[in-house]
Amino acid sequence: MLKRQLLAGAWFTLLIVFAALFYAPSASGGEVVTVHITARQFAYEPGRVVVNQGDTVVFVLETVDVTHGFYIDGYDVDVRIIPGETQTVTVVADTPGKFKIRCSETCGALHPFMVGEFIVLRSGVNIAFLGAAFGLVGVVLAATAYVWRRGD
Amino acid sequence: MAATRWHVRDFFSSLILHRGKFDLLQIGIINRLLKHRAFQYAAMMVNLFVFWVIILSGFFGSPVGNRNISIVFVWILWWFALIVLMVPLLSRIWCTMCPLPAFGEWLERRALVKKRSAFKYLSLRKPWPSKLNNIWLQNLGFLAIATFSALLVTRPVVTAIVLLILFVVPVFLVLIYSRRVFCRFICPVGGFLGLFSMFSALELRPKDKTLCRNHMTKECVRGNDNGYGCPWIIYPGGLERNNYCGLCFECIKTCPYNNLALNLRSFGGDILAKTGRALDEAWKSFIMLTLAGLYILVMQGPWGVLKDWSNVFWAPPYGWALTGVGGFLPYVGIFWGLSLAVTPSVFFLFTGASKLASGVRSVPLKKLFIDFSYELIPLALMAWIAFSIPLLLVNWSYIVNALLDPVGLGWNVFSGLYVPWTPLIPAVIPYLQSIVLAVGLAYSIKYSYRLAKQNFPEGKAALKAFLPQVVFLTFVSMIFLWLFMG
Amino acid sequence: MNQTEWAALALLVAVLLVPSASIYGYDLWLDAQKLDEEVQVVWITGWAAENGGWSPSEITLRKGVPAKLIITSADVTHGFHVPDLGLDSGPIAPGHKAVIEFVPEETGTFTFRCSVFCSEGHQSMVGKITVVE
Repeated sequence: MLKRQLLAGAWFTLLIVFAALFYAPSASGGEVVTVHITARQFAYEPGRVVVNQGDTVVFVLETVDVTHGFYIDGYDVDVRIIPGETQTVTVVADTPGKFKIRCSETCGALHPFMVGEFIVLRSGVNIAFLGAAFGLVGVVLAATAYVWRRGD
Repeated sequence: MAATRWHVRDFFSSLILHRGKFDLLQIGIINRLLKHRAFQYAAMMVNLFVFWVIILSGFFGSPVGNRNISIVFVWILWWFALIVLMVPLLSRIWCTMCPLPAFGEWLERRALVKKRSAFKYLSLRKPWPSKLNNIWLQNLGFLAIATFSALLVTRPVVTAIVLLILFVVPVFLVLIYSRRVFCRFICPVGGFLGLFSMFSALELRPKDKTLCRNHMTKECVRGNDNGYGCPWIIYPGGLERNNYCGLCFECIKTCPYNNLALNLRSFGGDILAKTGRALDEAWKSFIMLTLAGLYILVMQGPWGVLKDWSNVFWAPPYGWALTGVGGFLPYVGIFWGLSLAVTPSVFFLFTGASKLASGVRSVPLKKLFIDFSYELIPLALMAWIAFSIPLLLVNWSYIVNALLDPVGLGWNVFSGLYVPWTPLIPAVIPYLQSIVLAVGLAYSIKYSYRLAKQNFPEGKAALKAFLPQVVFLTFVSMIFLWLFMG
Repeated sequence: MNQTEWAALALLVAVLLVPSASIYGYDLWLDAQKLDEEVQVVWITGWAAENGGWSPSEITLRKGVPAKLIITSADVTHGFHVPDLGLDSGPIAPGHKAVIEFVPEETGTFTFRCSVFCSEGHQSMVGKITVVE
């Protein structure tokens, strides 16, 4: 009985820590970050862009082949990258998590698979992933405890 | 009205609260519909029309994938409906309406709708080779097609050619072997439909097995004036799992005792069925689980190199150095190696750990390996559902446009109306995927313990054997979670 | 065969025939339009130079007869531009089409090119219009 209470207590503490992390003001961020991205068929280089919450991100976009698009999930960004021109778009990274960058201009066969990732950290960690991982472990513990106690 | 409400309550109690089963054939209209001889013909005909349009459009329509109905309907709409709705809720209902084997079946029966009373199959009726009486061909066929998926799901003409082949092959197989050998042993879709339908909330089962056993004429196998003997070459009176029942509903027409039920039941009911478990099905699980991860990695991930490799022999001018053939071959190696060797090996290690942990020596490791592999079904299915969510939410506008301009040649059916590409709640997708994954994981854990209990009924051995499996399932889920959110 | 079977067979034939006939009919209709004495209709499909360039890349028009150019794109965004005739379609996204109507006033050869930087081979994506009497 005591063991179970300890386990529940530990889990509850973890949740509190996580919630505090999520709601406390971010420890880092607020800088202006310039990110150079080269688009090609069918990828962005670099493919993963990692910034801190609160950063102002200046994307400098270029394409080496055809016209591509630059769309970020949930960030209201959708611009065209035209060959020979440099396109600049500024984003304030206010929501933490992982957001797909998608090509919004049909650019060839694999166009629907042309994605990048825009990852916004909070206090230096990917808080959304961490929270989901906690949640998943919680599901594992709950399901295990449930089948264990119910037997068959 | 009162009767309807009663049904609705039964429906939910059987589906969600796991209280008993509810026989859909009790509902008059469903009963009459499924017993009507024209039902399957009509369902196939609708899809035959759609597939024919898809094939024509693939050959003569726009080569731009997202403007051609062949790509948009098959690889966005059909795929989503199949894996997210039909398989989990209605078992192999797709096989009821799939038009691919229709021509062979009609030819062999020399009838489209009716059952002739003096009847002889137009077929050599050779027996299917017993060495192939499993789903290994489907395992390898699916893997082979999946290897070329980047080509298949982006080039309309490739989709059209593959569909055309899948229309022609069953006709020849029917003429040689008779009945649905194509569906049972060859169809690359059939293999995973069978496996995942074990999780489904619908089942076709005999009501009273003793009645079937004592029934000497076995009309569900031999057929009678009301219908054909089981085209799927199974004995409906002995059904315990969904796997190889294609829901053609011939047996509910032929059974003189109305001894078949179409039950709503709780999710995952067949995973605990002890009959039919074998290595071919175990490998199907490994292949499906691995491919879900690889598809998400290659198609929805940010790694351009993998996309170059997947794009079969295509060498992009600005891609990574190792492209074209040099890139595709390692890609094939990764696909086949991971799904056929690496995933099964890792799973084997954890199963070994389970056996050691249980402290019971009498249960053979091979049996344990096969039995535990069925715990992967809910997780693998949910991983595929998670993969399919963005397909629809991101690209739904393509479906509307394909309906307005089916072949992408600028027909402008509705005076140039065009829906711009607008993803729906894209920022929420990773969270939806994680929830779906968690549901799959919970079901997998539940069935893992029940499978352990089947092998170790005594004392705490089942619990000890089950814990390494939980570690494995959690490990796999964390990989998926990282793909979605990390 | 009884009535049901005949009806089912008729439906099967219709299901296969109707889509085939409508695509074939659409093609015939396009051809018929091309033969129209009053308007010269030309379909042009844009492919990136690596994929073959303009198709067709050589067009012959008659002087004084109204011309209707229907331009589509088959891979990436292209544009149809004839500087000497002052014609420009603007960007044409893949699977979409642009229509240019004009009357060729003088004979000669006019070069058309792609107006959207479409690929490495963009500069070589050229074709010519020959206007004859």
